[in-house]
Amino acid sequence: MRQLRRIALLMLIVAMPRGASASGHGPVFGGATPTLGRGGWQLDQVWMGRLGNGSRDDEQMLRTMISVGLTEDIQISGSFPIPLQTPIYMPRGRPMALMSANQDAEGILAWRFQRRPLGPNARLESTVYGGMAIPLEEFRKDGMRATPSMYVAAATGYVSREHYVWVGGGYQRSAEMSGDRAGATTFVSAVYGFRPPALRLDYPKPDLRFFVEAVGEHTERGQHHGFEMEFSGGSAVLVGPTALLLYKEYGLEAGLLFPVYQQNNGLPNERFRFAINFSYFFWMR
Amino acid sequence: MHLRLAPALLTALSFLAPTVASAEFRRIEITIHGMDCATCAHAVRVAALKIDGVETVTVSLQRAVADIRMREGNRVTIEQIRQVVRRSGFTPREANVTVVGSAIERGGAPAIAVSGIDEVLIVDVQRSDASALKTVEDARNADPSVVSEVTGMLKPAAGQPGQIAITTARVRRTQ
Repeated sequence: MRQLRRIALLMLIVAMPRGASASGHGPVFGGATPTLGRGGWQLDQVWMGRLGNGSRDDEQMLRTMISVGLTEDIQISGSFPIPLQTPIYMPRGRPMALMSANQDAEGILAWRFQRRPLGPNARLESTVYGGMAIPLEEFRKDGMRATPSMYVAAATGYVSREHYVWVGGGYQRSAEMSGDRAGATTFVSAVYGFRPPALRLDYPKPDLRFFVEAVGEHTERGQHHGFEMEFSGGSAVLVGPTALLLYKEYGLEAGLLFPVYQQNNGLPNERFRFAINFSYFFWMR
Repeated sequence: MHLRLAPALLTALSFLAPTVASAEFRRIEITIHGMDCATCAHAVRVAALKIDGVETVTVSLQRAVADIRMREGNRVTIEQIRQVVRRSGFTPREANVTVVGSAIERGGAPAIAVSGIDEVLIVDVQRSDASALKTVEDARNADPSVVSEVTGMLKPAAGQPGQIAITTARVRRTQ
């Protein structure tokens, strides 16, 4: 019966035409270290977007991600996109550390290779990520051939009841097909999280914390028919607030990132990025 | 005081029956390090509740403790509980336990055998309180199959690999 309820909930979330969003019990946009426990499952449904100067430049997408903890330190995730609005000329990037903005199915393996408790409620840990993305479309909206890509990332940080600090970085590179290749994206992120004293409630009360996230990313110019595309790629630094609410097996997180610097090689500027993520955790072991 | 009573306890226990009719953990209050969020606590609770014989699980983030109560007749081991904590991604530390069983003598030391699950808990007589000693002394003159409840802190037994000591134990007869 409990199994049926889980399947029904999963189907409901996947079938939602629009709704919540995606990246676990860490920050919204930046890289982080937590992985699921052994036999732990997590279903994320994210609604994320980048808004430009006009509606033609806006990008919105729903993405569903399912993750499972193979061991207490190894996690595998798969995510699938439901595009809502695809811009023609916005620079490519990677809006969330664990999720691509392309119309790609993506699989990521996470290995928390270092974990050290620092007392009852604190630990230091580091995680590396490796993944692949397979396009679900033949051509991107700008006419470039969609090609598979690989993704590597790493994050390290400190976790406690009071403070969270993570720094991370990642790299995504696409394969070349028929002279087409999207520019490689490199990103770095820094996250500071704080749980105010009044919100340090004991389980099973709700758990709310706030983050300030900063992301810097650089995307190289893409290649079309073997020629470098002048109006492609770019660099940006974005900063913004996010929040995460956890209650038993449910999580809800949301946040905004605002550009403090951008250089888009002639492409439209971003006004802000947003993401709302709903998580459901369940356990089979 | 404790040191003077220790030999008396050893003597007393040597007269007790070497086998135990029924002994088991009734409560394990285990300290967990590295647990920071509500979902972490929930994961530990859900996993512990899946162990056959576990009745209730209460997890406190503030105290960094999981308080696990077992049903009568359970065969839950301390290692099962520690494994649940490890598999959830956290570090199990010391545990306060309540064991119901009869005292036996094992290797010259007083012990509580948890039947059927191959775990022997050594009672550290030098750190046990006087009332515990008195109770065991009383037990010598009573029914040797008397069931006692031992509450104390679990630590690895010094010099006895694979065994666990109950230190600062309190012992009381329950029948």
